[in-house]
Amino acid sequence: MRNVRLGIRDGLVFGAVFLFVVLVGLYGAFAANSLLGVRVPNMIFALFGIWVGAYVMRSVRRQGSQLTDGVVAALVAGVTMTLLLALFTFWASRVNLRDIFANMTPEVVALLTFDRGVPTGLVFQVVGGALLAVAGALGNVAWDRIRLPEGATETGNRLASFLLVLYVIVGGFTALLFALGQWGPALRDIAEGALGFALPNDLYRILRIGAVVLIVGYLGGIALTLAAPAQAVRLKERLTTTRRLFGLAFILLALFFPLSLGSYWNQVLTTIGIFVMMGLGLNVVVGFAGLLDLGYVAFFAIGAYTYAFLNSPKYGLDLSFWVSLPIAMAVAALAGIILGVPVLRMRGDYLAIVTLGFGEIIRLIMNNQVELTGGAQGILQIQPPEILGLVINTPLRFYYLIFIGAVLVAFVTARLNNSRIGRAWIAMREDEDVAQAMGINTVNYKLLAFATGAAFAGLAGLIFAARQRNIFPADFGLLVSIEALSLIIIGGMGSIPGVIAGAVALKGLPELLRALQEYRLLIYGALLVVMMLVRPEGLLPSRRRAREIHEAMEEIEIDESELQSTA
Amino acid sequence: MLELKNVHTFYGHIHALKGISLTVEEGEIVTLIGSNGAGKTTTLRTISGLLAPREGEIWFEGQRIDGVSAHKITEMGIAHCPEGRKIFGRLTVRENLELGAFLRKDKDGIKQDFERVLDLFPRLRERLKQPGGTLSGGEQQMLAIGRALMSRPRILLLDEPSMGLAPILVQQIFDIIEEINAQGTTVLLVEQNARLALSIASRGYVLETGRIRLAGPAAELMDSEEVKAAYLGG
Repeated sequence: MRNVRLGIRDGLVFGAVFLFVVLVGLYGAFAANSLLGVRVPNMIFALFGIWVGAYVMRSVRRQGSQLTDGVVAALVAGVTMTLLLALFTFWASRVNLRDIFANMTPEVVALLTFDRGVPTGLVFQVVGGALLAVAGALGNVAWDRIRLPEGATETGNRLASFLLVLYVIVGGFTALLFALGQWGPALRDIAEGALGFALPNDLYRILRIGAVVLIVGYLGGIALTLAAPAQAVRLKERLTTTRRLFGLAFILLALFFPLSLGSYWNQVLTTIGIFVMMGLGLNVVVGFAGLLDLGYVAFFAIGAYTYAFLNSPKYGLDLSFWVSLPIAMAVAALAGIILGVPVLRMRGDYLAIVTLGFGEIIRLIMNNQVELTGGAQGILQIQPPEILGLVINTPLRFYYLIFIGAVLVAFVTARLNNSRIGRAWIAMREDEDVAQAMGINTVNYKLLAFATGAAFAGLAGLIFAARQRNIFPADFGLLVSIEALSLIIIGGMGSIPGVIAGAVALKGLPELLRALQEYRLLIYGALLVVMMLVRPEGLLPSRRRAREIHEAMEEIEIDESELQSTA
Repeated sequence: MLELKNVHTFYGHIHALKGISLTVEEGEIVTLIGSNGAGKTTTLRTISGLLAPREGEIWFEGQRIDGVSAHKITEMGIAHCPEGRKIFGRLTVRENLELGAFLRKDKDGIKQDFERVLDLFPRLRERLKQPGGTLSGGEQQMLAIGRALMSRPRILLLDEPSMGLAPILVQQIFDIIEEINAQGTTVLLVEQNARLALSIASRGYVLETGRIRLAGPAAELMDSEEVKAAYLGG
């Protein structure tokens, strides 16, 4: 009974919020927009339905009640919320409310009834709300089950295995569909473009079948490992497998998904990729070595301008992309060392300020040395890279170039992190004096961190210049540094998957939200704030980072409880 | 083995060490005692290269080491176990110990010393996977000493190992220091707990406001009226 009352209460609250969203015009404003093929108003409806269900389920479970009680309460909440909405919709359909509520136009009523007219649409609302709320409630339970705590029960383990297998199958199928439907023509395009003549169709058929066998075999192997009796596989191993599995699914997706996207989204993906590279580099400096660098864009700019100097016809050197690549990275690394030497003795805030200044200095040089850099007019006609005669000039081709680059950078940083060098960096980040007492040459390791980070930013800059073809000082503003730093924080400091997740969230989300028109940046900002509140350690933090944050939070909580007990 | 000749160290304008001269012979435990601000910690930091002396000379096994950077001094075989149990709080016990052996490349030797440290401090063995910051005060001190030993030092500089520990733990730590010394590591021990320090040391120096006030065999210092009055509570 108590749960039913809770459901009614929360349903009314969510219904009122929903009505508010409708009445201020947010609902109708997106009538014409679709996100990934679904109309935005319907998504809002679904969001509210799932949200109310999950919310009610969470409250019920916190009180220690049964899951069935939670489902009932969620159902009640969903029905209550949509009944409120249905009543209002009914009222608005009979009486003209536009004098009071300017946004209650017939179009909005049509939206709210899913274009089915009043009696049918209202039934749709209520039934839909109830179903979504139940789905949300079950989703809430499933979510907790998936994120298994250490001492999970055997049932929990089995459920997790089952979900993982399901995930592998779904993920594998998706990958296969991409491979079958999309891969063929694009592969052909790439291969024949390079070779200059057509290959027999049978070759492609064999290749495709081979790829399918490979993918199925690999995924199947993992699925079999997971399906082994729960007690036979230790939980920890399974978690490692989960991580590998996600990694594999991610790589498959990253390889095949872009083939099915248009050039607009591929362009977005290349931007994300460039930021992944930058983020990985900055992660070495900030995440591993603990040196807060706010002028990181400087090295990005140096990489880009180095390529421009070496390649643009304006300077007559005409060096190719591949020759320029090591030079640009070396120049950027050298710049990293040049910045590093004067700031060796600085820590924290002071270091941040000096690096911030360095970033601006580089930008101003690019802007003001008009004879050398073209000033605000930038450097034009930079050539795209070429591989064996294939010119990398479409977003898709750039995507693959950047993908390879990012994978290499990720590999190198991962290896560095697990090496002696990585350990020295961590020790230095924790306590410089003690690190010295351990025999760590902090000067060298600091400079090495700066140089490594800078080299990767230089690589990102080089590719950026090749993609843009024309570069201007305005491309290298402070905002780039801030975004690179933000994506590390959002993703999880010191974690390589975190950097990727952060880049996708920070650079991809605004594009996904484009359908929200003028509300886009508002929602984006709100999402970032919510994110940092809900998950301060970042999306995919390194284990150590998560531990640090949670310890810090616990300390704060302890302090607060002490305050309360002394007060 | 280690010799300081008329060493002067400054913190900015503050004259912290005003001409310290002392020697430590191989196999000894030598203790530096004195009250707060006498310059004990500064002396250790100067030896280990974290501070550079403005005047004077420091010699270690026939080499002059003043002005040499800290990591090179560690390489020469001087391990500094700093005051206040400065362990890496967010790293696990194992990672802390591994960092102690940062300079070494002999995997077998490291493994051997790792076992040796865990035998000296069995409680660390139970906590290998735990972050250092979650250990108790005594365990953190053990970890700090263990980490210093991991570099297989010729001489161990210990700064206030008794600080903030319960008396029973202090006794335990000092027993272990004696054992470490018996296993062949020379020890230079800085302590406020003068009685305990003198009880395990062969020789001692008494520091007062940056100068050496008294020096001699530990037993003599223990009997000296001056020391008794100032540091042993009458």
